[in-house]
Amino acid sequence: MKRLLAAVLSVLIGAGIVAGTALWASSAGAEPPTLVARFDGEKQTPDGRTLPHHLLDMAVYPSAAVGPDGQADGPDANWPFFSPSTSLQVPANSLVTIRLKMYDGGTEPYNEFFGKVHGTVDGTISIDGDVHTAVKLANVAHTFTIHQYPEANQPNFFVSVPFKGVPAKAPNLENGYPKPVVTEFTFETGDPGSYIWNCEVPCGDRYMWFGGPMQERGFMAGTFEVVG
Amino acid sequence: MSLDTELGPPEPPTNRPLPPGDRLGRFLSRPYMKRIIIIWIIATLAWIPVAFWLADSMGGGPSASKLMHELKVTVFVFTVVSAPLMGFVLAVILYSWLGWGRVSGDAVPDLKNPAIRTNPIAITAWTIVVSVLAFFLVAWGIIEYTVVQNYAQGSDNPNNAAPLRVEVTGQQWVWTFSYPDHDNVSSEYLYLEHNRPVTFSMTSKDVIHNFWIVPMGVKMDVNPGEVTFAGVTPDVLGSFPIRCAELCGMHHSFMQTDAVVLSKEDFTSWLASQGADTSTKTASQASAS
Repeated sequence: MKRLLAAVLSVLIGAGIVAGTALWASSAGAEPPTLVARFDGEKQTPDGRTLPHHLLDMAVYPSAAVGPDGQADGPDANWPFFSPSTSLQVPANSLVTIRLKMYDGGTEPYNEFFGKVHGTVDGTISIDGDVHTAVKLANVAHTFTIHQYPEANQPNFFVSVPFKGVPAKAPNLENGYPKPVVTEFTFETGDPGSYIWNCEVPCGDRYMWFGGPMQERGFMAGTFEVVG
Repeated sequence: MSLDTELGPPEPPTNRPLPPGDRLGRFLSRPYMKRIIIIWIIATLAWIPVAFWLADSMGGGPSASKLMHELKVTVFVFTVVSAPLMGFVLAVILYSWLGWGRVSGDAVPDLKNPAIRTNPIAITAWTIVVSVLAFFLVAWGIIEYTVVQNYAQGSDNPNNAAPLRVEVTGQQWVWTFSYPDHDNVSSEYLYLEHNRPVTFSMTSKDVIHNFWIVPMGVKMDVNPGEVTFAGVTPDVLGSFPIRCAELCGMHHSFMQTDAVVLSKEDFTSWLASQGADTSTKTASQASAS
């Protein structure tokens, strides 16, 4: 009888360990909650077509310890991150405008390609109301680069926008944050597809500063779903 | 008095080895050997269409360069040459499984006929055949390597055009391409000119990537702090997938883009649309300058 009880107990403990490990792995790999673009009427493309227009409001904070979604502690507290989510969802065949408040300073990309604007409707972005086609490399804090296709049965899609960083001497506002640099840009989506985006400025840690937040969804990389 | 008279005539030998040829013949006359040889022949012949399929499916479809065509021919030849060995191994496995697998109880196979593990004819024939096959593969590989290298260096140049230089940059998880002879125009897609040799100089901004234009047979490591080179002459118009073939981080599987092969006129138009200098030189002009 004792042997039977010991065997049953061993099986239960083993199953508990396996289930606990699976639960932990599942929660560790969970995607951030999806940020869905909100409808904002209709808008004309530069070539005169009228398409549904959707908006995404986002921000980049220099540290995961600050901002409305910041966490005061934890191993990732010093990592910069996109807020409120890095899992984005937008409608197909629409114009999408991203309005991003940048609270982080500049780092400079290694590749000058990412200092230029690619894939927006008119090849430009608005920085604090001024129109630009590129940002001086030394002033680029992060980029938002949607790219490539994982399968051949969805349209190619590439948008890359540099974000100007907050100057080092920028005064802090009453809420303790510096006055953000506001970048706005619009691009057109095609048919439905699953894409990814990430920052192409080495703003992480470890090798060549491409580690840490650069390799984690929820920080400097995420998913971009174009849905029908 | 003679010995014969005293002891009588010598008895015929009972355990003296037969001549090697007879031993081999008797080995091959075993019933199961005939069946194995039949399976061997069928498996060898069946492997030829498999070889064709293997080579044809490489790169996901038709070749987009002579270089890729050469690689496919090599895969076909290597597979066909290895077919007899593969067929023999498969025949023994199949017969062991389906033939001898049905033997039950304590019955042992018929071992009356001699084994050939020490038969000089069998050993010599096996050694020579395998050596010839192996030598053929080595010789083919050396010759083909030269052919492929020549293609990579632009020997296939029907229009005698100056090679197009493209700088490839790998970075988690995007490929970018710039054209140093055309005002450093840059693009996230690789635009190439039909039947014009192209040379790639490649580097990485972060970790090791691998630049792979699948249907063109171009595949080269892209290393941080180093410049690696490759080349090809695209000879088919259209779009072809480019992938990273080196696990390079979280979004490695998304590190894909397209190579777009355009006619000379379309390529020139694309360069002009990017604001680039569209002048091109012939190979002789390029070498003279």
